[in-house]
Amino acid sequence: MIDEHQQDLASEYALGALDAGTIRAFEAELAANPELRALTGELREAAAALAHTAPRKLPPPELRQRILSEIRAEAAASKPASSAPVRSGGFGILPWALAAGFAVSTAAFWYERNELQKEAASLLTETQDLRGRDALARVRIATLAAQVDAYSKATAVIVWDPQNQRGIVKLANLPRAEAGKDYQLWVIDPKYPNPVNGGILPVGEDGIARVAFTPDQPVKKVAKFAISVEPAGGVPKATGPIVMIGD
Amino acid sequence: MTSTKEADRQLDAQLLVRIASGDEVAFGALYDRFSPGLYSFILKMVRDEKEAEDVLQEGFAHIWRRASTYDPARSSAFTWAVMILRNKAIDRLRVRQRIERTMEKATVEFSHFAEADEVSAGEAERREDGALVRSALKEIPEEQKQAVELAFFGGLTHEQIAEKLGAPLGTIKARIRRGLLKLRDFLKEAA
Repeated sequence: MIDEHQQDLASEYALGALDAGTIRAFEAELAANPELRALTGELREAAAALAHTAPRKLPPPELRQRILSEIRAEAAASKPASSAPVRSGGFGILPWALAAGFAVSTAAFWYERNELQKEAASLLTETQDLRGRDALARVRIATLAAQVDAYSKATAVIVWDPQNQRGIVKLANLPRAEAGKDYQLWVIDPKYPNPVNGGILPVGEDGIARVAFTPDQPVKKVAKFAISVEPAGGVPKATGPIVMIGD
Repeated sequence: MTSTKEADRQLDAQLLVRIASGDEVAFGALYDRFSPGLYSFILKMVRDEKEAEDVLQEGFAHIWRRASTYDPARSSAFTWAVMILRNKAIDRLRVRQRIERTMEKATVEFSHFAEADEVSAGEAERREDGALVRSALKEIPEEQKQAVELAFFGGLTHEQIAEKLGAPLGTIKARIRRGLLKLRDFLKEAA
C-alpha cells in the first residue's frame, strides 16, 4: 500500500523537484518497493506526456545538421579545446586599434580595492560559476582600463547581455567631463568598420554613473568596449580620445 | 497500450541501443522522430527560439553521449528524452533568473520576456498524443492543472509554486499529487 506521503514523493520525483538528499533516500525506497516503483514510473510518463500539449513548432532545418556535426566531431574526438582568440582589429581607425592593444597591459587594474571592483569581481565569480555549470554562455562582464593618467583611478564595469542586446555600465571616480563634452560608450564589433554607438554616459558630480544602454546597431560579437570624450550630446561616429577600454 | 504505440516505443528503444553503439544513422532517425515534439515543448518552457535551439542541441548531444544509460524498464525513450531536455531548460531558466537578478543589482529594470504566442494551440490537437493529454487536462480541476503545469513547464519547485500562488505548501503538494494521478489514470484508460 502506498501512502499519501509516498505519492507526494513520487510526484515530486517524477517532476524532478526533489533535492539530492531526498532523491537518494527515495531511490533506495524505490529499489525495495516494486509497487512504488511502478507508480513513480507511471507518474513520470504522465508528466512527460504534458510535453505533447505545447503549441507545435518545428526546429529550424539547419539545426539538425548542426547537431549531427557536433556529435560527429565528438565521435572523431577532434573537437578543439578552446575557441579562437577574439580578433580586435577590423574597424580601420588606428588610434582605436592601438588602444585595444594597450588594454591587455592594464589587466592589473582589476585588483584595485574599491566598491565597484568588488562588485565586478562578484559578478564575474557568479558568471564563471554559471559558465562552469555549462549553463551560461552569454552574459559578459567587462572591466575597462584607463588609457590616460587622468583616469587611473576611474573604474568602469559593463554587464552585457548579447541575446537581448542590452547592457549596463557602472562608472566610478570618473573626472568630470570638460564643458561642452560628454563621455560616450562604444561597442567594438569586428563586423563593423567603426565602433558602434552605445550612447552617452552622464556622469554625476561624484564621478559615478549607472547607465543602461542598447547599441544603435545590432552587435554580433563584442571585441571591446570603449569610452571616449565627445562633443556634448554625443556623436554618431567616434572622434574623441579614448579614455577607457577593455573586454 | 495500443499496438502502434508499443511498436513505436520499441522502435525508439532500439534506436537508443544503436545510438549507444555510435550509430549516427540511428541518431538522425531519433532526432527526426523526437525533435518536433521536444522543440515545441522546450520553446514553451524557455519562450525564446534561440535558447530553445541551444537546449535542443545540448539535449541531443547528451542523448548521444548517454544513450547507454537509458533503461526501457524505467520509462519510454520519449519520456527519458523529455526529462533530459527539461532539466537543461530548467538550468537555463534558473540562469536567466540569476542574470535578471544580476542585471537588477546593477539598478536597471528591464522588461520581462514577452509571453509566448499560443495562438497555435490548435495545431497540437492534430497530434493524437497532444489531443489526448489536452482532453485529460480538461478533466482535471483548474487549480491542480495550474500547479502541475507550473511544476512541469515552469520548472518551479513546490515551494516556489506555493509562494507564487499564495497557498500552503501542503496544499500545493496535494494539488500536484492529485493532478498527476488523475492524468496518469486518464492516460491509462485511453491506452
